[in-house]
Amino acid sequence: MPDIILLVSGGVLKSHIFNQAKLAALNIHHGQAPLIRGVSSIVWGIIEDKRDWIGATIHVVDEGIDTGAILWRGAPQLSAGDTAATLCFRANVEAVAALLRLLERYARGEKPARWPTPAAEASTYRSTPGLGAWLKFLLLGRGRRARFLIDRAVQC
Amino acid sequence: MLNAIGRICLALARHFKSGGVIVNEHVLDREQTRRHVDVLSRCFDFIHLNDLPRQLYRRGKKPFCLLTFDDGKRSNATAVAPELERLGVPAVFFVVSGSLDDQAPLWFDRHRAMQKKLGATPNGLSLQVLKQLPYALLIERIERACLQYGIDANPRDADVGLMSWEQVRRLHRCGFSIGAHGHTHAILTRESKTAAFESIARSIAKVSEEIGEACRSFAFPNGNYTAELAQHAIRCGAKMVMTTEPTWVDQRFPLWRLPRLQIFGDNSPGRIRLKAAVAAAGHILKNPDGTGRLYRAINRIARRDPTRNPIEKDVRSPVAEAKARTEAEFNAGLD
Repeated sequence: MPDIILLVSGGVLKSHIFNQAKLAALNIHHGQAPLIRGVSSIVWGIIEDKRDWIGATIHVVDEGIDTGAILWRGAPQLSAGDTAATLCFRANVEAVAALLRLLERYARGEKPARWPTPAAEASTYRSTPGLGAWLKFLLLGRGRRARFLIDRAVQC
Repeated sequence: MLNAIGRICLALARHFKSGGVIVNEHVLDREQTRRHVDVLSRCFDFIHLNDLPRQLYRRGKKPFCLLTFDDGKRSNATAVAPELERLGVPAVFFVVSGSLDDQAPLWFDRHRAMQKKLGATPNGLSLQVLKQLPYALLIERIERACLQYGIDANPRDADVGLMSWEQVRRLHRCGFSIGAHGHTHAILTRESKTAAFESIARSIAKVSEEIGEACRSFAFPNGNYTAELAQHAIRCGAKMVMTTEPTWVDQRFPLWRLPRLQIFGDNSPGRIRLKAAVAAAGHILKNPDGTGRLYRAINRIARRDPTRNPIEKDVRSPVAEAKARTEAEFNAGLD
């Protein structure tokens, strides 16, 4: 039986699998859960002009999709010139660093506290972008021409 | 041929454009310094940093040129500055405060040394990847690779080694301006906001402490910036903040987002002229910070809606009226 199960960009696990973890089953979600759940969250953030969706979350795996207890949430600085690829890369770099800190805590026998999130945060679920959304994403230069990213150069 | 085209284009640019250029250089030898000054002086009037805010609104016979040198390499103090002093040309030297303290070569010089020796970029060490990483991780990778291959930059090379604080103070005493360029040469948009804010604040404070007066300018390492970071630099005391957007500068640019045109030591006179002329168009050259020609959209948005300007927003609020007055008094003091 594993102490910890780590899930990074994997599919949805059945409960009889993730329940095998003695300490926890953790997932890195590339997006800010519960604001945005599902797949391609950073891409969806660019398509729907939602800067709050961009980032990464480490949460405990439960039966829902990206609905488990949040242990860490963060976002890279957004700047003009960023694309979905650069944002995903930097969000992942931050998430992996946070994950190592969390694993160290588990190794010491501590249970990480829940990450403080506002009580009434709207939650949106998105699955794979369809053709229309994908075309919009390409028209936005995969993020380079996204207005909220360009705006970072001229306003706070 | 390039020389002739450059001359014609620059003559046209001078005729139609107001303002001038802020030139961004890195390392030059004495001969290159002389050549650059010679080429630029034919078309531009060299100005001091303190005159920049006033020059933006003035249409002189000739457009202006402000020379800036990034990174604070030792050759800036031993070759460039003496030559500029002899020629009577003012300049700004942007120094990396933390690196001047520990005298360690900058990360890209170590990377260049590795690339030169190996003839190729080791896996995971391409500039494209490195420039996305936060500084701690970037340094860790460079350090590990340097140890693995037994290669490192030579700090005794004046184009790699950094100047000492004594040399910085001497430059300041000679009338050159000293600006801050970050505490490390971290790309500030890749850091956490807290770390980026700290790097800006520490570098401005350290430069001010070393030169014995307020440091008035800040240049973003690698040119990458956000309005929030620029605003923080202003809050920390900088009056002028520089980027690497390759265009001419005029009164339409706020002092917290001043574009600079990058010129290299080996650029021929024709190429320098052509670059300066093309920069006047404001949409042809690529920004060396990796954002390409995105600055066209940035400038379009900034000009369409000036209320987006975070500094102007500050000034508009009644609380900041006093601050605006202090700024005006400061600028008057510069005159």
